[in-house]
Formats: sequence, structure tokens, C-alpha cells
Amino acid sequence: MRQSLAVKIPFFCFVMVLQVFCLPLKAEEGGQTPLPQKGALSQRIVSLSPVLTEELFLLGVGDSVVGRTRYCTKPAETDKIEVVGNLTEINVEKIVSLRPDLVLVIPLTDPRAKQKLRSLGIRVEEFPEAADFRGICDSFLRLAGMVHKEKAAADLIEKAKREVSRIRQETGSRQPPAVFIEVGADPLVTMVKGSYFHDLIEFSGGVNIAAEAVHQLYSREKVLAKDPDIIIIVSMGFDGEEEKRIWQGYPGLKAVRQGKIILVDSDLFCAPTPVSFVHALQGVEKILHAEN
Amino acid sequence: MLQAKGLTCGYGSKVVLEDVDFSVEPGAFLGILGPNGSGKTTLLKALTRLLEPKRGEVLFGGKNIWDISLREFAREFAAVSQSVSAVPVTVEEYVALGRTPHYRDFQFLEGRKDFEIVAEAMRVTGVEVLADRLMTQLSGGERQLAAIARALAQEPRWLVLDEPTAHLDIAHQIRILDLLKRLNHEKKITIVIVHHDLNLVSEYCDRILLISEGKIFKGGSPEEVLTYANIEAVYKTVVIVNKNPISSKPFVLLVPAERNKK
Amino acid sequence: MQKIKKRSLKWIFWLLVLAAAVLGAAAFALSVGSAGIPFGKVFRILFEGQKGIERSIIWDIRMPRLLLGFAIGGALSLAGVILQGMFRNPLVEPYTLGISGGAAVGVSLNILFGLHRIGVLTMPFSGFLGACLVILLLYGLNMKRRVLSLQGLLLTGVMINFIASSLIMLILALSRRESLQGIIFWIMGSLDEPNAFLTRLALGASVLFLVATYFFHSDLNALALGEEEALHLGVPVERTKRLLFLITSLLIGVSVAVSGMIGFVGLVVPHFMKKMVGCDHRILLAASFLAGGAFLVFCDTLARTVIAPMELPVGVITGILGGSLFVFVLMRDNGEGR
Repeated sequence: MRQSLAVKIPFFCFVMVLQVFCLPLKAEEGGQTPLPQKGALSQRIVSLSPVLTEELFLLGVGDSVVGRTRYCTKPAETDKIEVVGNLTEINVEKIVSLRPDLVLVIPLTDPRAKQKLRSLGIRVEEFPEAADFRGICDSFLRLAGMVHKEKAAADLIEKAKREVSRIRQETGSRQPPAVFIEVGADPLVTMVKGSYFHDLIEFSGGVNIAAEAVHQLYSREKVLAKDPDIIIIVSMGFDGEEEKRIWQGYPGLKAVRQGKIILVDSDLFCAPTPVSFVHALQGVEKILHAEN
Repeated sequence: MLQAKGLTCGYGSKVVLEDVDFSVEPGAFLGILGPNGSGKTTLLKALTRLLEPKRGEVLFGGKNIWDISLREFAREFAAVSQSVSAVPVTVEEYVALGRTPHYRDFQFLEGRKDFEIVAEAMRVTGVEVLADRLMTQLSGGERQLAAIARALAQEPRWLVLDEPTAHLDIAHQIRILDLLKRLNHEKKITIVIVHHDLNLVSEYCDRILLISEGKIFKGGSPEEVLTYANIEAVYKTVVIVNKNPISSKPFVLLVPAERNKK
Repeated sequence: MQKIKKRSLKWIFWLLVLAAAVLGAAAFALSVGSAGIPFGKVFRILFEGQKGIERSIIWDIRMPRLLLGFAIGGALSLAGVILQGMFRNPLVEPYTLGISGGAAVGVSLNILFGLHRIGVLTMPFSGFLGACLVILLLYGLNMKRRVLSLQGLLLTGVMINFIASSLIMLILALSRRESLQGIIFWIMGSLDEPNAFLTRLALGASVLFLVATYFFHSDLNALALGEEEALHLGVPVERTKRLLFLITSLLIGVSVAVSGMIGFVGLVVPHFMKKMVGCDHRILLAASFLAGGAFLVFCDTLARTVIAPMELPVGVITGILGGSLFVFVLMRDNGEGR
């Protein structure tokens, strides 16, 4: 009697699996928006990156942005745009209901959501975080291509490059101060070569003491050993004042003796568009060469 | 007939029961006696297919019990263990579980017959009034009765019980043993029972197996087994054995050690 | 006989109630969302061949999520019921055995080494592989002389969970920022599965295993009395334990691999169902499956609407809702003195 199990179970399995796979999980034809051709002009854009949102406005196509993240707050016009999520978590349903023809995502965006959007036939373009100035320019040009604003982009980049080389020339003749830049406390996090933070310091005539470090994690010991002239604290989610006090507990440091522990607003650094890069560069230049 | 032949059992490398030979005739009321740790419970486990023997075999009707399917075996043998687990099901549901070995494959609901048997088992054991109570709400004695009812629902021809009246007061002890006697007489169910109380065993059992250190010390009628010499040898305790004036079965009186010295 | 009829009616009543709960949760899930489609329209869209974006939202976004929620919720509570019955321990839940830990390590390694770039299916696959490895390990360690030690299973399971969480910490420490994000996302668990195949797979597997567990309904009832008594009742205890262990492990493996860790469903739902429909596995299995499905669909819908357009991890809702309901019921029962 028990042997009949061996026959019945596989049969059952077969029937059940068959039924489940016959379920209609997809809307039949017509439910999806057709995939736009590459190079087609995008009219309805959902941007899931504050940087890209800002850049779209720089390019003069801000009015085609129909969805943004909570953190896309620059420029001020963005507050009229619908919020579809934060940096990591986004609401697919909301995005779909906005009927976008282009969704701009970053590596941080929830991979499942990206995949879901793609499977619904929506064009999804991922922009890796731009590492340095060159990366910022490249990504800006790529974005401009998607909205047919190559000319405007080239002009803006040209302007930015001119300003960058002006500042480089101006500061090149001076004595370069050694700089330690702190972007995270507990553990101490800095920025190494290949980041735009690093570029900001080098372009404005400073030396990043962590340029050659392998990892962004840095030890307090090494900072003491390298004894920088200036310590810049970019407070992103930690108490900068508290960090400043901790550094002041090491009176042996040159930066402490000269009172060169400088707190800066993260906004100065954290919007890497070609325009804001130049803006930040001007700010860093002032910090580095304040009294010299 | 249930027969043990050269039965040797144990756990791991430890041998608890060594080379045991005996047989039980159908219709018997067998009591197994012995001090703590002498191997009584191990013997029951070996008899009810819980413990596979290291050597030797247990034959039922001439067939090794390990060659009989579990379900078939459960239809012949029912067992009641020392402590009945308190599960949050009603007494009726609990007793109905005794029908498990009788279900056909893929049988989902009990049939009319199953239901009648369950009702009868509860009636016989007197737990029908508790039918809708939860097992967890019963007293120890009631729970033991329910366990016997569950065993009866298996419609066994053999009933094996491991100290069914441990921790019970004398009223409950007598009630349960009377019930077993009645089942033995009226339903011709063979009873095998492990018990600690020498006098109760003497009163109720028609055959006794006295076990000592994993071996059978003596088997036979109460008069043959329960002699002061046997008991003193096995339990290392001084006793006086007398005759119950009513049933004329032997009964055992304990002698405290202090008085013993005098 | 009267009593059997009464009991059958009670069972049918509960099945109807739970089926209604499932339908209710499904209606809720289909009609609520940030796209703001009116309630009446949802059903028109559902049953009529209307085309367009709203149909796509309902059929491509809400429906798969609803089905996956039902499948995972059902699978987890089913696994919970079986494990609690088998171990005779009301605190055992699907994640106790360390299978989820194995799956989590599998997925984390996948993300760390960037294997998921090869194809999206490698994620659930590596999760399932991790789960299977733990299952084999558990089985190998606790199978002694043809006896599966449940006590040992529980202990090694808990230990494997500890080891797994330490390994995940290690992987998190070693990984880059984007990977970190991916691992945490996965561990938090989500029912937003883009792959229709996986949704079908999860649904198929859970329904299939529900049917399979019904082969063991009387064995499970007998096992509630303990292994010895079950043997006395003619239940082939070892075979049953092995098969049930296999079934539940696969259930857990599949659900964790597809949707990450969604806690509490497998612990709370079986408890509630035991209180409501009783301990008879003939009704308990199906009831828990349906209730678990409805519960998770409901929680998931809440998770995606409470702070819309943002989403909460569904585990947050199941934990808060399930946990507080559970404590409430326990307190009430204690108050009545049982």
C-alpha cells in the first residue's frame, strides 16, 4: 500500500507545477511601454541621484524630470517634482505610474528595483559615482547625450576646465601645504587618489597626505606621523565639533598649533557636477591659502 | 506467544540486559519486578520494538518482531509509558490517536467504526466524562487512564505498561489495576506490566518475572517468586512474606533496618 | 458520528474564514499603492482586458508581489508548524535551524565576489546552495546509528546561525560600499522579486510541499505525543523525521533564497492557528499555510504604504505587528488563568 506513494507524489508534483506555471503573471501584450531606441530623446526622466538631477537642471532640461529622490534638493525648483524614494530604496510602482521613458540610477539603487524596471521595458541607465574631475566631466557628457544637450554640456565643461587651470596655475607657485581630509569618524575615513576630494586638494595646490593609501580607512597614528599642515573635517553624519576637539588633544600636530583644523559643510564637497566642482575648488583654495 | 531468546540489550557499548530467555502465553497477566536499574524498562523497550537487541531475538508467534511492520505490530501491541506527555489536545482527540495504526493510506477522516471504538475505549476506562477536557488539564491518574484508553483504541491483543501507577494514590492504583484485570479477563488482552509494588503485583499478576542486574532471577507464579529468600537476594533487604488472608496470595512486609539489628 | 460532523463543520468554517482572509489581503494588496488607482477601477482592470499603464501596475507590479508574499508567508508558517510539531517545542521557528544563516552567507559571498553580475538568478541560487550545505551539515552531524537526533539538530542549528552571522560580519567588513548595500538589502528581506520565474518557483514549491505534508498528517499528530509513543502507534518515526526535515529545509531554503529573511511569520502564525483551530495537523497545516500567506501579504502591503513613497522592510512590520499581537494574546490568556 505504501509503495503507491512513490507513484502518487510525482504525479501530484507534476500537476501542481503545471498549474502554477500556467498562472498569468504578466499583463498580456500591450501592458508595457515600448522600449525607446538608443539615442532617442528622453522627455520624461526619473532621476535617482541628486547629482544627476542637478546636472539635468544645469543642462536646461529640468522640466523633463518627473521623479526624484528625497535628497534631490538642488536646485530649488526640484521641490515640485514627485519623490519616488531615497537613494537606496525606491518605489517601483510610483515610478511606473509616472510613465518615464528614462530612469537614471546609481550603483546604490536597490538592484531588484532596477531589474524590475528593466523587465517592464523601461530604459534604465546606471551612472557610477564619478571618481575624479575627469569622471565628473565624462558622466556629465554622457548624461547630456541622453537629452541631446551635448553642446551646452561641452560649453559648461570648457568653462569649468578654464577655471580649474587658472586656479592650478595661480597656486602652483606657492609652497604646497600637506592636507588631511576627514570624511568619516569612528573609524577614521579619508579620501585617496582617484577621488574628486583628492583632486580638489591637488588642483588647489595642496598635498593629500593619504594620496597613496590603499584604503579609505585611515589611522590616527598615521596622521600624527605625517603631521599635516591642515586638517579638513567634512562632517557627513558625524559630529564635526567633537572631532575637532579630539584633534586638539594632540598639541604636537602642526595643524593644531597653527589653528588649521577646519570644519566645512558637506554641501561644499558633495555635489560633484562640473559647476559645483569649480565652486568647491574655489572654496578649498581659500582654505588652503588663507593667510599665506 | 511472546518469546525472548538469548535477548541481550543495551545502550551504546553498555549492556543492560544479558541473555534473557522467557516466554509469555497469550492471556497471561505478567508482572515484571526488580530493583531500580535492573533492566525492567529496557526489557519493555526490547519487547515493544523500541530498542533493537544486540544479540538474540524477540519472537511473536514464531516471527521476529523486527520483521513485522511497525503498523502491524502496533495493531497487536499497545504500550503505555511511564509518564504520559501532557499535550494540549482534548482527551477524545488523544484517544483517537490510538486508531493511527488502523488507518488506511491517505485516510483523512476517522470512519464510523473508529469512532465507536474510541467511544468504547473511553467508556471502559471511565474517561468519557473527560472527553472534551484538554490533556493538560487532567490529573496524573486521569491522564494515565486516558493513556490506557488510547492504548485500547489500538484494539491490541497485548498491552504493555511501564509503571502505570507510579506517583498515584492507592485509590487510583487499584482503579487502574482493576481495570487491567477486567481487560485481561473480559477482553482476553494479555497484560505485561512493570511495577514497583510487590504486593500489588502479587495480588493482580498470575505470573511474575523477577529481574536482577540484567538477568532473570526467577520466573513463575507469585507463590514461587515472592519468597523472602528471593526478595532478600534481589533487593538486599530483609522482608517477611506472609499470606493475604482473603486472596491467599503472598504479601510482603518490610522490616526497618533498626529493628532488624535487635 | 455527530461529533465528527461537528468537527468537519468547524474545519470547513475555519478554511472558509482563512480563505476569506487571503482574498481580503489580496484585495487590499491589489488596490493600495502609490499609483493611486481607485478601488473600483482595480477590479475592472483586473478582469477586463484594458490596456495601459494601470494594467501594467496591477498585473506586473502588485500581482507578482502578492503571489510571492502568499507563497513565502505560507511556506514559512507551514515550516514553522511542522518544526514545532516535530520538535515539540513552541519556540522553534524556520530560522532556528541555521538554514537561513547558510543562505545568507551564500548570498553575501555571491555579492562579495560580484557573481551576481553574471546573472540575476545566481543570487537565489547561491542562497539555496548555502541553505543546502547547511542542511547536509545538520543532517550529517546529527545522524547517528540511523537515528536523527532532534535535540542535536536544534543545538547545531543555533550554533550554525551564530557562525553564519559572524561570517556575514566578516564579509561586510571585507566588502565595498555597493556590496555592503546589496548584502544588507538582501538580509532585510523583500518580496519585491523582479524575476517572474522565481515567483512561480516559490509559489509552486510552497503549494507542492503543502500537499506533500498532508501525507504526514497522522504521523505529525502522533509525533506530538513524543517519539516513543509515536513508535508505539506504528509511526515509522525515523523515516518521518527525515522526510519532514527534508521538506521543511527545502521550504526554508527556497523562501530564504528568494526573498531573504522575513522573521516572525513562521513563529507567530503557527501559534495563533493552534489557538484558533486546535492542534490537529489535518486542519492545522492548511490553516497555517493560508493564514501565513494572508498575514504576509497584509504586512507587505502595509510595509509599502505606511511611509510611501518609501518602503519599510517587510520584516519590520511582521515583527512589530506579529510580536505585539502575540504578546497581547499571551497576556490575555494568562489573565484568564488558563
